[in-house]
Amino acid sequence: MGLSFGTKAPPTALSGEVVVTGLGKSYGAARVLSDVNLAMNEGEVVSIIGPSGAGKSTFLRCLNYLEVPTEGEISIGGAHVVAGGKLPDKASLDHLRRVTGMVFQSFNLFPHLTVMDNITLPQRKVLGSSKEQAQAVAERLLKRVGLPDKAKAYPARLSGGQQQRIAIARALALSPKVMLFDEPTSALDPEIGLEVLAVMRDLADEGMTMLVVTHEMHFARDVSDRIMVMGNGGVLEIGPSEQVMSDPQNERTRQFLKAVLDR
Amino acid sequence: MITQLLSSIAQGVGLTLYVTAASLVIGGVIGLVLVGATRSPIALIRSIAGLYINVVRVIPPITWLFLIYFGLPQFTLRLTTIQAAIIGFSIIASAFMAEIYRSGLLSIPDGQREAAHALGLSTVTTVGHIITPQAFRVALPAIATYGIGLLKDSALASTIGVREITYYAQQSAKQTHEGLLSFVVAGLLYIVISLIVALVARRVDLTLRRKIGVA
Amino acid sequence: MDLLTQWLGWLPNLAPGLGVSLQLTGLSLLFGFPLGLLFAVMAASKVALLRWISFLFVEIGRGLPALVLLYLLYFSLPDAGITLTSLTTAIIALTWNTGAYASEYFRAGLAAVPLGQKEAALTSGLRGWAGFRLIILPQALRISTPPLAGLAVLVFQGSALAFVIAVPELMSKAFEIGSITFEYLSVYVLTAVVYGSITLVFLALVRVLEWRLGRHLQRN
Repeated sequence: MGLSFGTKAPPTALSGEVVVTGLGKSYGAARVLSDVNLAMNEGEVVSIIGPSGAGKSTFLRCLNYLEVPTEGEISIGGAHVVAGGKLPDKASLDHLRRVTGMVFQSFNLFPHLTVMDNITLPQRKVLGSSKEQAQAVAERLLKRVGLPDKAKAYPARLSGGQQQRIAIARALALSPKVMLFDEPTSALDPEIGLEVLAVMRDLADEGMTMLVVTHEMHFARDVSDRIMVMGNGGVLEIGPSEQVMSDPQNERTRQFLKAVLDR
Repeated sequence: MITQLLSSIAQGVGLTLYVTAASLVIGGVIGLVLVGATRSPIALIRSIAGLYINVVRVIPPITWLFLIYFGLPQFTLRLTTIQAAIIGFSIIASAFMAEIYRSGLLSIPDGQREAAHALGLSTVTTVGHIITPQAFRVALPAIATYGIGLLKDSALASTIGVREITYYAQQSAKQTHEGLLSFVVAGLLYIVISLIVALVARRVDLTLRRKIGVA
Repeated sequence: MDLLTQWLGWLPNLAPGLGVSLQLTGLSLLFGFPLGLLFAVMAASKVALLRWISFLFVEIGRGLPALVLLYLLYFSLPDAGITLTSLTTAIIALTWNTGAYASEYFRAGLAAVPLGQKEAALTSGLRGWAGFRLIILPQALRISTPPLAGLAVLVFQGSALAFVIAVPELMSKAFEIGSITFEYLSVYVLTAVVYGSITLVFLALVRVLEWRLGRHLQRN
């Protein structure tokens, strides 16, 4: 069941809400995303699944303008941007990036900085926090992701799962309203991935609004409220997790799930 | 005989090191500006920077030196031999350093910039705190290698009269008629200095890499 | 334009100098590259003596500034009873210098050819020299081409040094004109233009060569 909107501009989102209307992206003649709509309430967890090349990551990365959408509107946590094929004005862009936090498949920790500096630098530069404030927040978050004694370590010495958890802490340190996860466990061994998924589950339980592109079907079914299935740059289906997984409406969803679950 | 030669030729070591170091540092700073210019959104700045880099590198160092030392006085800009040498080598070094920086920058994964953007770090912070430190570490071996090359090029300064190693070797050769020995001594001095620089650079690189855990 | 006429007037004087420069460069490359290949092969030899000789020649040829090498030979050869023209001395010095640097590039190129190639050559019946010449060497050369081209440019620039041992090449002709007309800036700018344009043309040709050598690797 999809959600539909009238032709008027939707209301600007408050706090942790996400409202995306008609998002599209073209690379020249190639249409990478078409008419993607999504509305999330605060505290909702939505997983995005689908075959490779479906545009899942591209869609996610449009939300904080790591990719530039060519049309559509984005409202996240009070930030509102109308897409037009180029970067929005600085104020809107900064606002959008402040209310969103992103976790990448390849972690992207800063290798030349200690774990502590990785987490405190953004706070000091973006929020203007003092060194002490930033460190206090960092220590709290490190404890929360289960790595309280790694503050002085350098990322290269940590395992993938540890690095990813630190990446989550780094994103959380800026108090985002919505967390975006781009295949957070795809680069990890399944066992190691569980550490990360556990942290994500805790985060969800605490009420964070989360949008997760993933291949982890168990997570998608057990932790997310809804699942959005994408294919060929568009939304195939979106609905409550249980329902999408057990009784998909769309034929292609059915094929995809069959291929993925029947190993 | 050899010790006599050594002590007279070694007088030049000071200026050799001075000219090399000064040119490397000044060239390194100008190179930073250049590489920034090559990434400027303004097309004119990009073109000028690109032109500079491509022109400087295809002209022989000795021609640059002569151009600066003999040519500039026509504009009543009379320079000392040392000044001309440093200016000449700095210009050349800046072009090569810009290329070295460019390679360093290219080797930084896009993910670093993406993470910085996603966190909302400003361009200044991203370039200053995230990109540059990493690019510099990556470029360090190449900078050291270039520095050693510059050390050898500095011998050219003797042609415009800078009293560095080669100059004194020439003097010795003329005065003592021990041409072979003089230049063997000079050569050994260059080799020893190069080796020391190479070893120090390798140590520094290893220490930096061990610190962040990639060695 | 006054400058242009001035420059055009000087070209006849500079031209023979350029000729000598190109001659010096060409011969140094002609002898230097094979020398470098020889050093590279010697360096990989099982005979310790060959490895040592190669090491010595390469480290001296690379470790010394080209200028010092030039002076070294210029002053030492006569003492050894060998009298050569300045040009010949310069060619020997530059060849040694070139060979030393080239050997490193050839070593890297040879090392970069996948081990499987040598094995495949052997099993295809191409042993020893034939296998080396037909299979290994071409691939090594392709990898070594960019740095070798850079080296060729450096040799051309190095030829300008021969000026100090009285070789009548481009720089020395320029200096002559400068000392007569006192138009040092103008003549040296012209000299720079000559060196620069020849180098740029050469680099463009090398890019074409690289493309042709690498064509078999492009997926179309």
